[in-house]
Amino acid sequence: MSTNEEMQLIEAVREFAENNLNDPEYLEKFSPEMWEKIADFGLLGITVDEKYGGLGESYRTAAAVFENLGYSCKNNGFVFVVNNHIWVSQNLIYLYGSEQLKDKYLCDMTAGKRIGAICITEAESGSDALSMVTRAEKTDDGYILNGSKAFISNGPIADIFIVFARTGEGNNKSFTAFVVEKEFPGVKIGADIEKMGLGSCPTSEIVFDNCMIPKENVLGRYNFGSLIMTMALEWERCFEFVPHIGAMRRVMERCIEHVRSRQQFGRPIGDYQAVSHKIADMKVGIEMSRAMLDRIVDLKDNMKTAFIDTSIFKLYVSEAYIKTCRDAMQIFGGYGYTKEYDIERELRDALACSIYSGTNEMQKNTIYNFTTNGESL
Amino acid sequence: MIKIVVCLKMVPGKLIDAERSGLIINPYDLFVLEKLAEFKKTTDISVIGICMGGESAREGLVRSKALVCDDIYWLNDIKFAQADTIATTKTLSAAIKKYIPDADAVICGGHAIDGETGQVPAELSEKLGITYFSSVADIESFGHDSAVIVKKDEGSEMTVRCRYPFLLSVDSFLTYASNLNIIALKRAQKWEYKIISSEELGIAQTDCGAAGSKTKVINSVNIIYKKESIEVGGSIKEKADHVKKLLQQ
Repeated sequence: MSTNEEMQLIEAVREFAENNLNDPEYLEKFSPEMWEKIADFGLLGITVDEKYGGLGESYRTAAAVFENLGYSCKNNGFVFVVNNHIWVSQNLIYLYGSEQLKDKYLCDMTAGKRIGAICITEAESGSDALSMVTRAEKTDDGYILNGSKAFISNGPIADIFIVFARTGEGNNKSFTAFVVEKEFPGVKIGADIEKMGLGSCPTSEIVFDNCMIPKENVLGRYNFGSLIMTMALEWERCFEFVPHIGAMRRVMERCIEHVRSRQQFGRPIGDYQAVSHKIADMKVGIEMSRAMLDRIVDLKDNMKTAFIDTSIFKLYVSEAYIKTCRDAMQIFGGYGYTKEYDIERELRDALACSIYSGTNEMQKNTIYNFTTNGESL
Repeated sequence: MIKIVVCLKMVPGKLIDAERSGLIINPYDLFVLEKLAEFKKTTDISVIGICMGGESAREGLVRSKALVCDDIYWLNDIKFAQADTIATTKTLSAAIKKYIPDADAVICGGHAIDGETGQVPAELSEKLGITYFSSVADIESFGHDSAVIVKKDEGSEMTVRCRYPFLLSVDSFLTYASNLNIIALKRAQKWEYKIISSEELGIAQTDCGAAGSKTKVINSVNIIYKKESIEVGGSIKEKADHVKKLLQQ
């Protein structure tokens, strides 16, 4: 796609977001109407083939689009819903599903008729995801799934769940990824959990009580769920964090406007280094994030793995994003602490990103292990 | 199928937003496109766009195609440039007579926000020999032999049934098209736009562009609108005093 064409797409996305996704009434509450609008707009299938109702765009274009979505849509929770649906549900079926699964689910997902979610975390297995206890037993017709998943983003509104469950026999700790429909017998969806931020992304527990799954709903290969999980986390650590770059830009621009007009001791506060250096840090955070993203999308467009790159990216972007919002609150002072200025919501939304997609501490473990195992840098 | 021609003009984006560069669809034309996009969902209409403009018009034409246009005739020739309303009318009417002679309706934005003359629709209807309806605020329906429109004029509002063929001059505008879909936008980017030269159109050089114009623009000045904000803080009294001081400046 030429730069001009990409700019046209980006412009259209920004206009759409500014005009449709910033309803103040829904900044902390999921809006089905907004979901319908974004589905009608055609964004949900951005990298999916046209055959399944998508746009067939490259990951580079998708990244540019989603950075700008993050910039123009200040409803961070809603962007989070969209990302969960696209990158760690729909995208997994698209890339790793059988033709049967793709034919069955993708058109509905790109059209927004069915919302996706991913189920990895359990009450007793967060960072230690591989200690999950949800189990799927093989039967003649398929599988019976038992267990529960916790803190599932999109849980209360999702129709399709990508569920990871133990399938290994005896001491074999293998697990498998399944595509589970909300309507399958035995699926129970918990109530929306009230959170500190990202209020417009509903989150809940999902319980599987003798849930029957047809055999064709294995995603990837039986007992090879670890591969799907690795790829899912890679996509999540990249594309869930791309909009945060846009959010950082938005917050930075608000700060710039404020420091130019707010005066103390007879001068704009932007004249004081204690303030201006914070904005410089914001800019550095944005540009460094973009530089890392550039490398990652190049790898993904060439069908290469980017596991360590996305781990580094996730760690860096999340820390930069939280710092940006924290510094913004400091810059706005008392006003930043009020609800009216909306800076506190930005900070509350940002804080979650050091936790989801694998905590920042786990990313450091991953990066350390990679670095000290002598892998090529 | 009802055949509708929409006359499109691209205007500087900075007339709407000082920070916007490039050309955008004239907001009055955008209202027409958006309206027709709504009708297309329920009514059997064919929408043909016609636009005089250079390469810089491409982006707006892509959007027009994505929104609703089934086809677009792009009158793109340096000889069409610097046309006044008369030369514009002659060019557009020549194109409509040649390519869409069986149009049921021609719809124009009432005026373009860069020129603001508002003359072309009336002149065009005269050239095409079809009934002219000005000050159209809304279009209610398209039937098999007529359409129903709403005219607003000096405080009064009339609902009028217009028999085909007719020309409407629409006075409502939009700056954002809610019916734009990016899948359609991507398809529109790949569309082969029919570029019509003055030679292909068969219009005499003395009838188009600067050569065909009775009036010539001698000078134009860009008015740049600055967006400034001043933060007003403190107690209610302090805020009121500050605002008072600003207004007095």
